Amino acid sequence: MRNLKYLFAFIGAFAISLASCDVIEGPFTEEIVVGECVEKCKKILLEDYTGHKCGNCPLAAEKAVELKEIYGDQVVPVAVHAGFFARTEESHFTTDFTTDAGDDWDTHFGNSTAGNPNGMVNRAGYPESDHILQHSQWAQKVQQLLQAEPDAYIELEANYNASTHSVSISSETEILQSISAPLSLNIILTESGIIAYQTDYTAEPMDVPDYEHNHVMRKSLTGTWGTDLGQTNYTDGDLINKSFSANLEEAWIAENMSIVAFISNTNTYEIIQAEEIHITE
Amino acid sequence: MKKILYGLLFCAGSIFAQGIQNGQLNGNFQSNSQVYYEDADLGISTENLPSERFLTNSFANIIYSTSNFSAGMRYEANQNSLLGFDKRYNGEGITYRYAQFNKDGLDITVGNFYEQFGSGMILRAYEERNLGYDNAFEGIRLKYSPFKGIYLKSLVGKQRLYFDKAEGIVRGFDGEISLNETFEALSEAKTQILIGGSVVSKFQKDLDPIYILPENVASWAGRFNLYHGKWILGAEYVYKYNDPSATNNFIYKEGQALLANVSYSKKGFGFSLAGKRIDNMSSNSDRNLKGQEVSINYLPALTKQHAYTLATIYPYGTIANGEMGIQTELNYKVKKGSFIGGEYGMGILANFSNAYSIHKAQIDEDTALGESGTLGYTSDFFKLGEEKYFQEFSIELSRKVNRKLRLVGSYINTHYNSKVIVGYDYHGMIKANIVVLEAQYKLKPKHSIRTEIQHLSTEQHEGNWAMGLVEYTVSPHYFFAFQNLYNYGNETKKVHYPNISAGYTKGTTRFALGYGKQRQGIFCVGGVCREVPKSNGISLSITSSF
Repeated sequence: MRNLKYLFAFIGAFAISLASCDVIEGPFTEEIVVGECVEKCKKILLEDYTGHKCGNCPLAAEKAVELKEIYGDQVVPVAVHAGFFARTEESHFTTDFTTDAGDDWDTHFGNSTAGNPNGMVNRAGYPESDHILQHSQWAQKVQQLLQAEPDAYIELEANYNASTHSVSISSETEILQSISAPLSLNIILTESGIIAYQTDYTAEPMDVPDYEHNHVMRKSLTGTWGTDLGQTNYTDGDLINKSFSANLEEAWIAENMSIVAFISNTNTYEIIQAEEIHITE
Repeated sequence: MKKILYGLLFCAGSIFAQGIQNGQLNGNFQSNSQVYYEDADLGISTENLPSERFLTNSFANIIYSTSNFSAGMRYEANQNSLLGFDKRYNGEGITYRYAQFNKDGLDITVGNFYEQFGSGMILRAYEERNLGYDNAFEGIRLKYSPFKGIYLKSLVGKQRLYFDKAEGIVRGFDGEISLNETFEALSEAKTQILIGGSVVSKFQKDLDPIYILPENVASWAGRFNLYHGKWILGAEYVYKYNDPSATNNFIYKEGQALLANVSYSKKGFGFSLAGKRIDNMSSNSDRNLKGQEVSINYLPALTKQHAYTLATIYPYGTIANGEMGIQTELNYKVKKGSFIGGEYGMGILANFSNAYSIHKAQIDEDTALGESGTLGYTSDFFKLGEEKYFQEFSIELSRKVNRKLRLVGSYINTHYNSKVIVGYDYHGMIKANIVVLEAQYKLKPKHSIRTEIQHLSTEQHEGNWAMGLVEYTVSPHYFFAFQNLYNYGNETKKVHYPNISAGYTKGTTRFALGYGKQRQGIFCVGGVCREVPKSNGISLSITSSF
């Protein structure tokens, strides 16, 4: 009898294991209905840590494009080239996409040592190891973070001077909910439509000469960790204005460039709001 | 540590107190450390060196056991992990602890455990320290034999992920019957038959807003082994239901794996043939992780595991998304006294293995091959793909010339698809020929010398390599060795990789000290691989057990 008792327990375990299966017949995806945000929407910064010699990275770039198409202005993608796969080579990979700030972020957050491609969504989760997300995890994190109301809102204005190939930027940060922490404002420049070599393991040949690199971080105007907004306690309605200027490098095409701004909690590095405008708009 | 061990013993309950008193305590310790230096030849500058300069991986296992009870733990201290090991191993702590007891034939394990169902293609948790691989379960495992010849196992647990645990929960059941043990009428039969089956299911919550993901993913397997005289025949088939993951680019196709083997052996002669087909069989505790760190299953490489240095430059790593291949091995001992066999006979060991892509076709005109959010592709089970991943032929001749001298000669021909296997370093199909001559000579009692001369020739990748080794052993305490690898065919830079090492062994304790250069490459064990970075430094290894 004792044997039978245990035998039934094992058969029960077998049945539970076998029954525990969800077979999806299709459709395999669902349409995300993003509620229209008319005014002062929450906007998420999606950092894609990548490199032109990283053969799996184009899949991550495609995911960033997919999320941009779904969430529109509420997702601000930035491709940060850093680490081993971003190094230049004399043969094909001659374009240096790295930046000082991007290298510092990569070292600090540990993205390339965790293996490209990966990324961060609002740098949420730092300093726990779950701040680094695979591209397959970006959508769920974006969706989760967008459920919250924005703590702040950024308005940007850009004036591009074609004769000097320079841009001046003014920003106005409006605090929407009281915050008891120091805040930093970061301003970076990105460029899309750059045609250059990229390794892509799904392509044949794998080294693609005319790959289109988008949302590539070109420069930070506020150093590695941004400029302090000046207080440690902010109340609803506070307005902070800042202005910046930058000379664009000769090879950069202003029409393809954007200004990306984001506010981070200086203590935790978590980003509470992002914004993006085109330089020539 | 003591407190935890006592705690485990206490938790086992007073029922077992009698047995606990007459137990044994044993354990082992291992520490591998290295100091890293700059090296202009290897392109290692101050910026490339680890900030710590000195890195160490250490662990100790302590196990207390009696006839029907055991409890143990492993303490690891990686401060910080050696180069080439994942940095998420940095840290220290108790990474493995368990209590196991057997009552009325029911074997119960709580805490951490390793396990394998069948060949492992459906479930295998194991540790391979040289790879930095440890996917142990933490949970509960039961084993029971209700009737003679019937063996049942069930488990539920989460897998180790560095110093954390993977998100998914794994449930599994395995049953095996030995017909000859169970049925009296077959107990004397010449043919022994084992039949087994497994079911494994994992759970991970679906938080993705785009994909409709199966939260419970099941797989099942059936297997048999048949022993008849000098023959062994075995096979296992695994089926996995839809398991979209980062590894398969989130396709919903089922996975399948088939492994079959036949072998024959008698004195002086042995033969084996194995074949496999793997299709979309990556199975991870966390669908978002692309690596192998929390693999639920193990997919064998079916290639020869080499020990000679130059023969390990191009090792094969299993392609979980799809491959087909065979391996056959023949060993023959030429009789002593014959012209070829000489006074002591000669051993011949020949091996051939290959791996190809599997056939894949679009599911329809509008869907790209392997497109995420679809069924991915269709595949004809018996049809090979167009791409060769790997092929290798090797032959080894070993002959004892006289009482003092033994010679081993090897030839290996390798075809290595670097695009598929290594991925990041595109050199197309690397074709290499490797020749090795090894000599072992006894100088006098307890004193012996061993030499290796190796050469690898290839027109691809880094070109030709040569290698020489001299090892002097004074049994049972000392050894001294010097070796040099020379990549003389490298068009970019011809680099020497010299190494000198010495060791001392006393009882169960061994010290080994080395200094030299390490080439950059891939290190694989059974198809599971890790990258090894180039380095220059002093290494110290200590192992001990009690």
